[in-house]
Amino acid sequence: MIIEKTFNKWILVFLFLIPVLGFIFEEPYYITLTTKVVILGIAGIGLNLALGYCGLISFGHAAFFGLGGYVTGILSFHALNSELMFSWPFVSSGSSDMLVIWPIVILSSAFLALIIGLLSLRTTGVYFIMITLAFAQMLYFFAISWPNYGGEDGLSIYMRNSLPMINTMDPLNFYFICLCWLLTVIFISAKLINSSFGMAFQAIKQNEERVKSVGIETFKVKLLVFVISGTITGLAGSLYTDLNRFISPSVLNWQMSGEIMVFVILGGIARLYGPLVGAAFFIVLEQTLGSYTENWQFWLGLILILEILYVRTGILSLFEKKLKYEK
Amino acid sequence: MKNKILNIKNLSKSYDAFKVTDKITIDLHFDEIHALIGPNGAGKSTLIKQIVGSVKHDIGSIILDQEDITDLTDVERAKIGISRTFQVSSIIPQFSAIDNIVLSLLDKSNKTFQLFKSIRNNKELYSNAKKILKEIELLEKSEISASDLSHGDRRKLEVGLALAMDPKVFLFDEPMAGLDENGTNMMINLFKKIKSNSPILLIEHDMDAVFALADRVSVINYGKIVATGTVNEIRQNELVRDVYLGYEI
Amino acid sequence: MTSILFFEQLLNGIQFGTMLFLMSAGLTLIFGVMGLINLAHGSFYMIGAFSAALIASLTGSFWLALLASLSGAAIAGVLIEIIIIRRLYRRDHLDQVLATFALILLLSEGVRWYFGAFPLYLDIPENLNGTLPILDDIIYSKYRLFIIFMGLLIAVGLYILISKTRLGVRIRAGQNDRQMISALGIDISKLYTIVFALGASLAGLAGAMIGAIQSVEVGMGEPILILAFVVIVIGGIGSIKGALIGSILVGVTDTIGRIFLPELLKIFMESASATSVGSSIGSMLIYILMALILIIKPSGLFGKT
Repeated sequence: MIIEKTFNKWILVFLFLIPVLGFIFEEPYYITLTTKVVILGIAGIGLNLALGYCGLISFGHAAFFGLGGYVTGILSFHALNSELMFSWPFVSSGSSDMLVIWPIVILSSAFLALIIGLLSLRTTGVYFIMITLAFAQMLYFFAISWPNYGGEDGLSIYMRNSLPMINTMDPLNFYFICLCWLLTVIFISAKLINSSFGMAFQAIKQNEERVKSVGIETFKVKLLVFVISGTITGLAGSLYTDLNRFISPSVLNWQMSGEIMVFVILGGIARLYGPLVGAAFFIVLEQTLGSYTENWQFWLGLILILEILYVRTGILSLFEKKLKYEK
Repeated sequence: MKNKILNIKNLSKSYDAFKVTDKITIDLHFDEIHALIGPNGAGKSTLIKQIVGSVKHDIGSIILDQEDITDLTDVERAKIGISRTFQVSSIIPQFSAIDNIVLSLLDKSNKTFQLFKSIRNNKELYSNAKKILKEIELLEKSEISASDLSHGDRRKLEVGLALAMDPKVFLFDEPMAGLDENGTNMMINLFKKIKSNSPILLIEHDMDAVFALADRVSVINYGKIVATGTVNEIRQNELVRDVYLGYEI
Repeated sequence: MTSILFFEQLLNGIQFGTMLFLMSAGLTLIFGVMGLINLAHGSFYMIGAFSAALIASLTGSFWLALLASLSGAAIAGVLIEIIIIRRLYRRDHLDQVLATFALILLLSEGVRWYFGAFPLYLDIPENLNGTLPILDDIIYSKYRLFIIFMGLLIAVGLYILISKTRLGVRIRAGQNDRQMISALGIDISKLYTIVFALGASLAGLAGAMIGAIQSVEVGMGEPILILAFVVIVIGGIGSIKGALIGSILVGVTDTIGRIFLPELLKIFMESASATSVGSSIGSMLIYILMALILIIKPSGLFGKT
């Protein structure tokens, strides 16, 4: 525990240092890469709440990531083309202001998570895994066959969305925007985990029947966790669209769901910083292996299998001092 | 019927042709411990499951404190005052003993959906939890994680979780199984003390404990209640002797 | 035109359904007997197709290629079961999902490494080329009829295997009670390997047969895997009967929906937007079907509650 906390502080120091170094040495590529780590880390932190802390094995979080991404892409597509988006109940032609986009992303992701949660949480075990997967695939096929926003080819937005007073096109500025979101999301997660609500959802993971028998409505608890989790991942999707200035159906694909899950597991399940470390490891692996071989995913698969069969507790567990009677 | 807190009528449940409970009618008075005894597989635990609502019965009705709870879900029943222990200890393994108790206090204090306030700073809940740990003699082990507790301590914690809910009735499923003499005596004294507040329906194999504690005893066999009466009546009942043929009673 | 078109699409739907059945029967069997959720099942579909394409290019025989798909996928199944999968039976669902997800990456990249990134093609044999008149004015592809026939043949075969043979008795025992089969003195690990290989070979066969109409490429297994998941969720996990009915239901709904929904919508809206709305909703139809079934029966049509 003690060592893990120190390690987490070092992570934060690194997050401030790496892009600044990238800026000084004029390597903007590293800024972009770290931004990607931060965004994927946020997506993973969202999933970790449901999967790591509440035991809800969602294999469909790409749905929220993709929805956040598409909402952002579509709003800004209309704003940049000054094209009418809809005229009822009020006239709207989108927006390219992050302060407008973010609340819409948050609301729509929460709504989608509510619908998917209401249906999926009626089931448990394998059914839950497969149903969340199927709902995400449903959106994926919808995005492919809906021609208005690029269909299979995806949607480009030629300008990153804006914030008042800040030039978001500057990589370092955009990086710090994402970093602010990461810190906010970590802060919120920490608060949730240590609250009485957090106590309830962590207990559900271990023994749901017991939690029911002490009069706690576990369905509502799980639903709320799922909604919060989906919303955080949706927000990450919004930032991801802005990072790439492009969104395509591939972010809705089942492979994306799998990757977000991999961030959580690689870093260490039910650890606050776990998904961030997992995402960083994933990106570093992609970059280093990818520079040697095109088939880097082969090695990724091998590493993952070895980790699941033999290590099992994720990277952060290496920094954990085992104390008896401590969680 | 004013003296009955729990009134169960004609409760039946069958899986295919096999009747696990067959028209069970049983009640629980205020201020009593009503013991339910019978051989293994007689339907005792299934009856408990039907009363708490985790198994749906086919026909029959359950009245708790003049309120028909037959159609309520398990969580709703727990909320309005049915509290149970499990035959096999069912606790939150990675929580400390005191956190287990606090979890049980959440619903009554409306804290379940308090999202951001740190639970560990809630002095009131934790001091209430300590009182309960003291009752079940686990106070000095409050910080130990439940999975590291001994079998006997887990049985105690299980009862503590029920106590914390301050229910209308207790359903205890073999709370003394595997306890040493000290533990059993502690439970007996505890049950005598709490029954005036919330009466107890008790499943127990330890006949000494049953006869020391129970105000009334019902005998269940093949899913049917075959006799109900005071301890002395049951001891002298021929039918009960048949059911327990070979057992010392 | 509509009734002929409808009948033709219905047959297409059934053909698609029978292939889904080959995938989902294995998936549901593996889950029912070993309690394993196997995401890598689509990889055996791919391995079957590649084995077939390889043998077809060497020998020129479609029939040898089909045989190769069965045996190639079965051999891969045995190896992977022994090296990796059997360590996962006792693990929780999360570990199983992740390990088999990793296995997809490994196998897909492995195949890409060996065969290259370009799709391969598998030719339909001469005597199955062309069409066959079925009813008065309805003609239908011989090869697709062959697929339907093979699917039904395997459904019957599986039924006999499970209800009439010793292996079937063991499989059923395994589905009902895992403790019981070890009590019966059955070598469980051998049984598990056989069931896994059986599931893998069925998937491989499906891959080869579909590969001949579409193309043989890396990643071909995953879309159909996810449909197979939808099938077994609808049919009830562990139930082969559920897998059969679910497969036909999903196959027909998907095929008919994609074709007729745009047509149906043209009655209400202008043609261009009817096409786009119709095809988008058509592609979501089976998921909507799944959601509806789950609202009524959360454990699927034939699932145990």
